[in-house]
Amino acid sequence: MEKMKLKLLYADLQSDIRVIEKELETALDSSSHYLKDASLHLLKAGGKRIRPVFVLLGAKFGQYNIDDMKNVAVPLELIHMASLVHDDVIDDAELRRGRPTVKSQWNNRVAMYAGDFIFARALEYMTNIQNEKAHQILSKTMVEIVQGEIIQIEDKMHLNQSIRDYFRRIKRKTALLISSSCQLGAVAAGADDSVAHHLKKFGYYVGMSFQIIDDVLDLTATDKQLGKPAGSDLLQGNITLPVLLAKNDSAIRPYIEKALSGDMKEDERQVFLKKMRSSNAINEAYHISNLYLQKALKEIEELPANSVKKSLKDIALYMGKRKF
Amino acid sequence: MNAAILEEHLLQSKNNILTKLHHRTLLQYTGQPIIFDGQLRYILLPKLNGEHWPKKIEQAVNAVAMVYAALNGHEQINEQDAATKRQQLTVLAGDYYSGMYYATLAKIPDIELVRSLSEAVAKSSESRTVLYEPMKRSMDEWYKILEVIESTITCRFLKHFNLDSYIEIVKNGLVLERLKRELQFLQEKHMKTPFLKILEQQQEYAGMNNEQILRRLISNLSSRLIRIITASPILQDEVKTFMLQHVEVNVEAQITMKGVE
Repeated sequence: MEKMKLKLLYADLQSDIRVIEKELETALDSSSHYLKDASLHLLKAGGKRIRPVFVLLGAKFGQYNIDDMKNVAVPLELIHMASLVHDDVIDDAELRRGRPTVKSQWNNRVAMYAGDFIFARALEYMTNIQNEKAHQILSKTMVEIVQGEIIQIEDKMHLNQSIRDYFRRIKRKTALLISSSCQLGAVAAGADDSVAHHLKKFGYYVGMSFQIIDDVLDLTATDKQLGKPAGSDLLQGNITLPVLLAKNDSAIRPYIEKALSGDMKEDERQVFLKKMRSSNAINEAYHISNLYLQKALKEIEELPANSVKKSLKDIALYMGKRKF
Repeated sequence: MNAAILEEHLLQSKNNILTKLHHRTLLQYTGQPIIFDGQLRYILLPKLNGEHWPKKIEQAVNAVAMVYAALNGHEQINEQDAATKRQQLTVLAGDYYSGMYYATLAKIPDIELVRSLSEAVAKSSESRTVLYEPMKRSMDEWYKILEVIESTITCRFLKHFNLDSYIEIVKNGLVLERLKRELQFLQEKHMKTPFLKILEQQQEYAGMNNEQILRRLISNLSSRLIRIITASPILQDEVKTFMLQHVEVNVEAQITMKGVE
């Protein structure tokens, strides 16, 4: 349902998104049966395809041609997919979006090879773009994303981290790839540098807002909506913004500590979620997310007149207000 | 150049690559990136043999070694240590080295080599996965799969720089290095890798244990490689001697083991 709503926001791009979907299938085709199955599995799991959408929207500010732009949009989605496959090994996750993960369906090694295969395919596609700057942006982004994940592991279980640490982490974990998607679309389509710069900033702010909402939803959505137990982030030791905002609340802190110690029972998880949901931390986190959203909307105003400005605005608002 | 100088060249290159991949946290939890000396020896064979070696090729070598570091690192992931900090960071170390290889080539820039190496990584990853698939294949087919896993990346690099004449030596040499590591793993860990499990199912090795199978493969391949290197019209004499020494170390190791048995 939510995905349907999102699709309506970029209805003008539907035929181009179908091209991207087709290319994703081609890109993931493999002579290995396991990789072929794993790829199909990933494609069926769907996803919002938000990164390709941002690439295409960014490209609308330059010389737009789907045959060229697919070579940027497809790798961005593939990089996202590959990182999810590896993340499931890192998190030892059995389920993603309610479906078995590649690592649980086969094993950790196959998941590693599948991720490496998808990363490689992403770069193969990208090399159809003969623009040095685009490659430098994407490669830098890839390195920084991993650095962000390394920091996330370093910061795990550390309740005494600051909100600044959290922002630094989600910037690299989520905002960078969205930011680069917007920027790369513009760069590859030959748009002005200033346009690419504003799109980059727009993507960054949207990404920050999006991740904060994601972290809030991990606590406020139901297990069924999430396809995993609510509160999983904390149970895995990831300290998110709502938890950082609530950690000094004496009624909540013991539950946070319990979750981090790995001793939290099911009834305690339920109490914890109830307390979190009624705390001010959720509202505060929403407020911070909204501040980023407003900054994103401001960046749109700086862009030259173009019919896709409305789509950018609608998608940003959707991402900043989504319910799950 | 004598063997000591050639070894020094290799060591310098390795240190240079390790410096470029240095990451404090990764070093602390996962150790140095894994680039096997044997792999580096074959990647750098044309340089050791005195080929013209501008900065661009040196940077490309760094990128190729980074690809190996990424894939070698991901080979360390296992099923037992799920979600330990070391395992988590090993996953990320491989991804980091992958990103660094792309960044290195994007900076040169050499986008054609990115394409070529990416195709090779995709092929290598497919072949690695095939080792886990329950499908019967002949020994020749398995050998080809191992060859793809071990040598496609270096062969693509050599082709890119018109160094095709080294490919036959490199292909055989890199597979030999892999077999050597398989044997070492078996002796140290007493565990079977997916490749060994496949080997012992081959009819032609019926009645032989894993070590005997590996010894036979190593011996046959070493003999072939010695013939190829000795007859090579492109290798300088000192380089031939140097490379043969390393191949013969493998052969000697087999003889020693036979003696122990």
